[in-house]
Amino acid sequence: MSNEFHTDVRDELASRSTKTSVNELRDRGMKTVRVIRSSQILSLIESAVDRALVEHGLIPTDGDRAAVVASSQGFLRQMANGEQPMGGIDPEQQRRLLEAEAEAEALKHQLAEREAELSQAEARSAELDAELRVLHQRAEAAAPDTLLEELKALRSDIQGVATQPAGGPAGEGELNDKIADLGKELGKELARIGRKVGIAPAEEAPADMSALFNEVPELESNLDTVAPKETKGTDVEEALKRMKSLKGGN
Amino acid sequence: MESDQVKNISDGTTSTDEVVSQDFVGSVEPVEPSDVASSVSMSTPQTNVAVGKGLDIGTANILTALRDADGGITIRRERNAFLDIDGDVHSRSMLTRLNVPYVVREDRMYVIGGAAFELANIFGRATRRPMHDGLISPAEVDALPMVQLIIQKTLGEPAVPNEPVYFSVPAESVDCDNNIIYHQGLFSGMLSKLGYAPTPMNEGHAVTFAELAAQDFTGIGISFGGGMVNCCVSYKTIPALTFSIARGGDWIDSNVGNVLGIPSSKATYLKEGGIDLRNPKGREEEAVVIYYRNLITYTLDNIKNRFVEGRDMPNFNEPVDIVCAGGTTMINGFIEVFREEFSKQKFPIPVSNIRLGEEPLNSVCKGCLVAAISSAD
Ligand SMILES: Nc1ncnc2c1ncn2[C@@H]1O[C@H](COP(=O)(O)OP(=O)(O)OP(=O)(O)O)[C@@H](O)[C@H]1O
Ligand SMILES: [Mg+2]
Repeated sequence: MSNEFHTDVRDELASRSTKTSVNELRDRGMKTVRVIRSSQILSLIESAVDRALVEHGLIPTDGDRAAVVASSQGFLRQMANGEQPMGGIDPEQQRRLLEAEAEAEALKHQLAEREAELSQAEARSAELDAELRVLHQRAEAAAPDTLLEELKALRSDIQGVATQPAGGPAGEGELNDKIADLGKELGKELARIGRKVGIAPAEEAPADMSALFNEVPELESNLDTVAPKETKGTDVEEALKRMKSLKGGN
Repeated sequence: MESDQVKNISDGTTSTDEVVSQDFVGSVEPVEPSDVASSVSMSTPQTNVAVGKGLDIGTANILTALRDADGGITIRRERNAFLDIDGDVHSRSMLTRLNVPYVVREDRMYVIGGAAFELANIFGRATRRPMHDGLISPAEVDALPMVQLIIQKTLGEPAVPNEPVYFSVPAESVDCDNNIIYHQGLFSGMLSKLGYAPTPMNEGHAVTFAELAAQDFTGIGISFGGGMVNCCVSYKTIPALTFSIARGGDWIDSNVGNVLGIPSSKATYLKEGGIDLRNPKGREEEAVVIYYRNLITYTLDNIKNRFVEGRDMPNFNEPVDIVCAGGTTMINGFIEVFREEFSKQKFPIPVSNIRLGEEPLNSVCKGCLVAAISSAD
């Protein structure tokens, strides 16, 4: 413990405190009082200073501690006297303290930023999960075409987000990865539903093969004069009506 | 009658790969001049008022469904096959008089559709079928003009430019690595070239569109075709599960042919010749029944397995219908045997009714038609 500051603390306390008699306290209904020694207060100040320095990444030397404690004494005094703090502190220590404080502030800021990004990513992912779930549910009611369109739109939306340049701090990369994963997942989903509906998604579709038929020559045939065999089938009115009502939702 | 005539032909043609199917017999019946006249007037039919057509591109048959002015449905069907023959001017006019479609290519004449089978029998030749197991193979490029003509013949001209046409495509197969993407792209390209706006539609899904309207398109549709079985579990129009099995009528024919030591064309004839699956007579018919039962249980097993492993299967709280369609269901006793095999299984979802499609051969093209008209609405 740095004894040289002990007197200062004691003086400070003496000047900042008022005296009350035991009788007076008793009159106020008090039976016991808590007592703290000025040396204990000093030791509290010292350990608080140590903690602060370590938290800022500084390993305090005895000299550091002495300087900071001295300036806290100064603080105490100045505050007690209603003066602006920092006056009369060793400028080098003051600079280091300010630096440490600024650094701590920056770190805190970054931390808050990352936390915000993370929770934003979590929120977006939850949102996409929810959208996917809704689409799953809607898949049971919507027409296949609309469903595919919606999925396609959603996926390109997500891919758009995922391919935006990553510039921010670490959290953003994570966010993009997450969204890209979700995009891939949706892509698979789209392909799967597409396969089920019997429609391949655009990416999977083969090159336009109509070119193959450019080569098909005009062949001589009697197709124009030979009638196709025709039969009558039972009508599909009921199916069309139901389809319409399901599509229109009534 | 017809079947006797066919029997005589097919008995003498053990080298042919195919024999005429009974439901297509008659396409080379000579036509009276009056018929020719009426045929000619029908040759560019534009009877459909509703925009949109349904097209079933099958291994064995190609069918078009269109809606007439009175709301009725017209179905045009052609066999997906052709045969090349030596031809001269005389045979051309002869074929036209007989209402037999042909095309001339590099000095060869190709008879297309059902007539090819009958001529194949007469000439002791094998027809060429450009599709196998539900798909056109990239190796069949030289057959494309013929396939295109068959499609053109059934589909006719578009009623309006870019008329929507939904065409059936098989689902991914559980037992073979089928290249659906090529098949789908190829027919999309072909149909665009013909002036249509094509959309592929899963074959089993099409069955549900045609047959499950009263159930709000919820249930299981199965198409038992020539090259494959296509299955779709649908919930309110949305396909929750589709898959195909690379077994169908052709598979039955070749297996029956193998065990009986006869060509598969004869097995086809035997199979289509009026057997009752519930009451087989003799070793040959027993063989057909064995493979039919095998095909049915294999299909049911696969639906079951997919339900068990399926991640996103809908929960069917209400019992659903199973509808069977396709040429392979045309045999007598099919649905009874299906129900019998079904009752031996512990099926994962409640099923209320197992039935045949209203018109099993037309279900797929009608389902495609429903989709096409609905898309144009
Ligand atoms: N009366 C009948 N009895 C038994 N089988 C029949 C009968 N009529 C047709 N078939 C069979 O039906 C099959 C053709 O059915 P369908 O027209 O539904 O097939 P597809 O649609 O061309 O083929 P896929 O869908 O597999 O590509 C053939 O195997 C044929 O032998
Ligand atoms: Mg089919």
